[in-house]
Amino acid sequence: MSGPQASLGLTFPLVSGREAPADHGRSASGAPAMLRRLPNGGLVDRGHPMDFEFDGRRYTGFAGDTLASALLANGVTLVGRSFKYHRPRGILTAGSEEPNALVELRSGARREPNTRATMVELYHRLSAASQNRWPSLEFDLLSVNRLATPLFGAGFYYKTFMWPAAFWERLYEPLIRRAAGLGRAAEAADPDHYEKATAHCDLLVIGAGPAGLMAALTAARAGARVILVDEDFRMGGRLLADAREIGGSAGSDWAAGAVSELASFPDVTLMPRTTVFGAYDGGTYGALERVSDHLPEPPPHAPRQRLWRIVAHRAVLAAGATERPIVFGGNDRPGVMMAGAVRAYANRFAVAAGRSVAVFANNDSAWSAARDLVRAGVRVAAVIDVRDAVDPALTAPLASAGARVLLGSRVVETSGKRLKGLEVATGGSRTTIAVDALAMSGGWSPNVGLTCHMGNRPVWNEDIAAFVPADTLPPGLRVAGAAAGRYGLATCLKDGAEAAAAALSELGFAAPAAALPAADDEPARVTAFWHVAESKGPAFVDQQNDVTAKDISIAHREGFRPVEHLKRYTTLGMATDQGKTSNVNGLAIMAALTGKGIPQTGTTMFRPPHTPVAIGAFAGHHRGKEFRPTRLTPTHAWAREQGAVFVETGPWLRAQYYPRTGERDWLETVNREVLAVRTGVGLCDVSTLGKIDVQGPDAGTLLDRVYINAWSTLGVGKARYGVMLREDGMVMDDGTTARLGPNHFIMTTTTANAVKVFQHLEHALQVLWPELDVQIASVSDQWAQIAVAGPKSRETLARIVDAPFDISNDAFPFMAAGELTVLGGVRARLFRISFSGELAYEIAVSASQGERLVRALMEAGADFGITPYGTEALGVMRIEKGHAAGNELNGQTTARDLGLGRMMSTKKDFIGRVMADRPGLTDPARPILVGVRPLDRTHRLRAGAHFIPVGATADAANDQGYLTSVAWSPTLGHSIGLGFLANGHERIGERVRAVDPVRNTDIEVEICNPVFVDPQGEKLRV
Amino acid sequence: MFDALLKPGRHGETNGPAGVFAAPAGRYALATVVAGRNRAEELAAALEARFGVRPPMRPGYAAGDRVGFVGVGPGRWLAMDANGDGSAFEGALRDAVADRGAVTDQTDAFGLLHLSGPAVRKALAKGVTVDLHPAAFRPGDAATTVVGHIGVTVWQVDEAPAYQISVARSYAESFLDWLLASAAEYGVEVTPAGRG
Repeated sequence: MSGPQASLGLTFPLVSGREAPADHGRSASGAPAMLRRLPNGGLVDRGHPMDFEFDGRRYTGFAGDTLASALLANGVTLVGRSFKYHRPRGILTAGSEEPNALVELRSGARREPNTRATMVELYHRLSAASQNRWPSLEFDLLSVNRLATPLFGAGFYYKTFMWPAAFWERLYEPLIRRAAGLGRAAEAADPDHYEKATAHCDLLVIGAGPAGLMAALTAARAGARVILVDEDFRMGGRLLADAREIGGSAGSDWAAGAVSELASFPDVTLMPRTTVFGAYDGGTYGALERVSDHLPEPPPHAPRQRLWRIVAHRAVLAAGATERPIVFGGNDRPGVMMAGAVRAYANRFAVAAGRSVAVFANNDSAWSAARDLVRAGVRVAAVIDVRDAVDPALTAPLASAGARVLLGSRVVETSGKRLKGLEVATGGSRTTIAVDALAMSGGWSPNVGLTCHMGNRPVWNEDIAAFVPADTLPPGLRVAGAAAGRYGLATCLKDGAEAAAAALSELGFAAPAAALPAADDEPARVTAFWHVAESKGPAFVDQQNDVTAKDISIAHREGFRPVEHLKRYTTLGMATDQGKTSNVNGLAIMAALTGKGIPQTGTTMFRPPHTPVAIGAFAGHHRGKEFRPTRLTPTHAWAREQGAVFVETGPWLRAQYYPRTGERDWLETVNREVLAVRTGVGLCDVSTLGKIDVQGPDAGTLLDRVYINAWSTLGVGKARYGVMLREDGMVMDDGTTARLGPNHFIMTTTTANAVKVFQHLEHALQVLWPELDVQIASVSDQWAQIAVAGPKSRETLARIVDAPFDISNDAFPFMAAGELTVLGGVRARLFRISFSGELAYEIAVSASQGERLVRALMEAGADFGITPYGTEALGVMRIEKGHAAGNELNGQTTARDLGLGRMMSTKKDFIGRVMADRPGLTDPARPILVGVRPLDRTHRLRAGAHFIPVGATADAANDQGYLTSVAWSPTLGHSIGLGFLANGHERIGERVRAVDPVRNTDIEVEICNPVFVDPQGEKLRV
Repeated sequence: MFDALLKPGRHGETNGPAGVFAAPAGRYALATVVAGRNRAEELAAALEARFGVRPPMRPGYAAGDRVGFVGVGPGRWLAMDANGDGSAFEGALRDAVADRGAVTDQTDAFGLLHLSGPAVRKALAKGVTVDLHPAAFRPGDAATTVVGHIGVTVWQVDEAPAYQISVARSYAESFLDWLLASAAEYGVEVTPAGRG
């Protein structure tokens, strides 16, 4: 029944249709009995059975099981279909490196695709489903992909569908996307929440196997702050998987004792279910804690997962090693597993991987695994080793247990949809062996990933046929035990203790040499062996991405030989498992093909994350409304009460407009607000503007140097408009600054640049001119500031200003500034400045008084019809008045471009002066700020439209500038705009076209003065 | 303004004793004091002479009966008066500072929160990246840092441990969203202003 033809994928679909599902016995409850559960042993809690469901069928497992061990206990070995070829796949490993046993866990909004069954802790009523199959796992129609294997081979994306190009988008890509894939993401929003947190420690220990536990104990006993992290829900590492003894008792018991001793130290933090996924600068490590993944759903208030930033003075990497598969025909068949995993399922979970197990290896550890299986009561049919000679101490116990010992032999092919048999080659002869499980081991690869995250590469160690960490490691990190390629239990215990002691002594702790518990080293000899060359059936290197040995030879033949090319051409190691079980085999096969040897071939880069991390964990608290913090103005509650519609301006929420009942749309509201200001009085919260208190004997000098215009000459009690340039001569920000005293100014910035301008001043004071005696403080949050604008603004304000302060035009003229009290003793600042072009003031009170102020103003102006206005009306009025704002201060414009060239003082130096003189910035043809109105006043202008001469082709060569801001002017009754036009000042009255190729408009416009309303500024001074 | 935003009572987990206690920290008058060029020592001495407590020359916190100082930058302090009016405190500070630096009233610029409880460090660890373990951060230590993209200053007031934290007024609501979400699993008891 075995033989090459039985395992050829091409014949498989016909066979699979006839093959009956495995027959499960059933318990009285309806769930099948745990056929493969061993009668004794294991670290599962037989007193706590747990029901679960896989693909709609009910099963039972025990507390302490993983989903993988519980499935195996129930004889379920077929759990998924492969990525490209839809080959039946089972459970390969017992850990985080699992490439095959990927399932959809949970359902509805909590459905998680591509979940490794080996990492899922069983809970009561767990529900999981296989993925990437249709209509069912047993009978998957998409397995016909295997008929098209030649199409899906290495490089198929690049070659097969080159022509005709149009077929790619319409035909090939949709087909491939449907056929190749993994699980389905949940379609509803994730109902759970995620968190981020920071932890600090003296010593971070990564991995709680023998080396890690010993490192943590050594540090804890010395009084250090220790964090011990392990990805498993139970700490102990291989001590749970291998039947070993420490100090005369079971290794798992010793591990439990170590964990409880560690838990007794107040400064030791044990973090099970946590994976350190990245090593970063400054001794910082990223870790993901699966807080609630082992529960049906998170308890109230608990997150599902927590993303940790662990800041460690020192760290010990004790992450162990990952066993490598051997590449041979049909090595992906369900039932073919890693030897260390078969051992773990027997010892830790009391599960027999099969009724009859064979072992195929190139190293001693698989023999120890076989011995453990025999001791646990699992039938071992044969041990096949590629080596001609193996220590009789290893072979004898197996031979006496009745296993066939086949040295100098190789498994060539396998058969069965679920493994039924092996074909073994010994020299020139072939035998078949009927087994339903094969435990393979190609040796072990130390888990070096984290040692490489800061750019290091591991080095090849011929003695253990594996890459080990280089001498150069991330600062503060040491590697201990199997992760360093130092195998053996006694070695690991000693190595862990020594690594911790060395780290602690660097930190100044007295770490007495730990008394090491008694243990011995298992033999660990290995002979490098990668690929059974005589296999004819598909021999998988990367089982998750369906990359075969043949794909690697194709890559070699076509010149994609360096490992990074090999990876991208074949997709080797690019799946969610990041090639943990496949990368070394792949590069070793390439090394054999090129004859270069493994050290010269090298590895691909290891990058974080070591294992997948949900995006939700990186977002933490910051999703939805909390994506970023929101700043609220002092009058926010009042504006909400008025029915304001709010708009996000940077982090701020500002009132955009205040709709009234009966208004049809926002434009009607905004028109009303604008006209109310132009004819009566309106008010607007402008607290979001940046406010910086500038004090000190050199305050005026500082302002002279950061603004383009003069400041030290400004009189006390006066305000002035200022423009700041960046060092490169472009405009950075503008605003109004007032002088409150000889050594005291209050600066305002735009809302968007409040922080940037403060940083700019700090830089100037700390770096450029530390000799200046100036003190600055941000007071943006201290003051509520309200613009009161319109012909009736003075009369309104007069009603709240305390006597004897005089705000008459003579006493408090345009651009006056002063300190006063309002509303019977409330401290206030008043500025007679105007953004709207009307008679206007800005009045500031302490933020806690802001709401009181706005209510008082509404009352004071009630008989003038005082109208609150939002950012829309503010914008319309500033365009009507020709004031530049964010659209014009866009980082590409100079003071001259904005029509402010004459403000630039020639009598002093200031930041940006030199660079503003560059020929390109002073070119008279440079586009300059102009006003624009449509020739046909019924036309609507579009911001972003480009200026093209009348009659010219609308192309880049004829582009003369563009419209930056447009608005409907209720004052003028037509659309108006501001823009930059080449030689604009000389072209007032000229006609050009405003062409908007995006929205397909092309209208004639007239160039005009940018100040549409009150160009003489008479209203400001009344 | 935390007194307006924070409802007294139990938030988050309601079983068992609360892990975190939060209280608006009463009505403090606040001001920024910034030393003139090379005059930080002289200024600190003048403030000590006037208020009986020396402003720390480091990221630290020192308080007398009524007035306290938190170091928020070189030669820069947040000054607090537990029982004061902003304008009067600014005036008193200006008297003491004279020409040695600048004083700016900030009474309404920051909200102050008092945080304590057995799980307070665990809750703060979800936003404060500074090490708050007693080996690294003691009563009298302060840190100006960022919590959930919001600038804060946090200082430890006693061994309990209890902390005070200052947050810019406009960010107060977002900060409380973060705090209550982060501390929810431990249970939060909000007590009225001035206690906790």
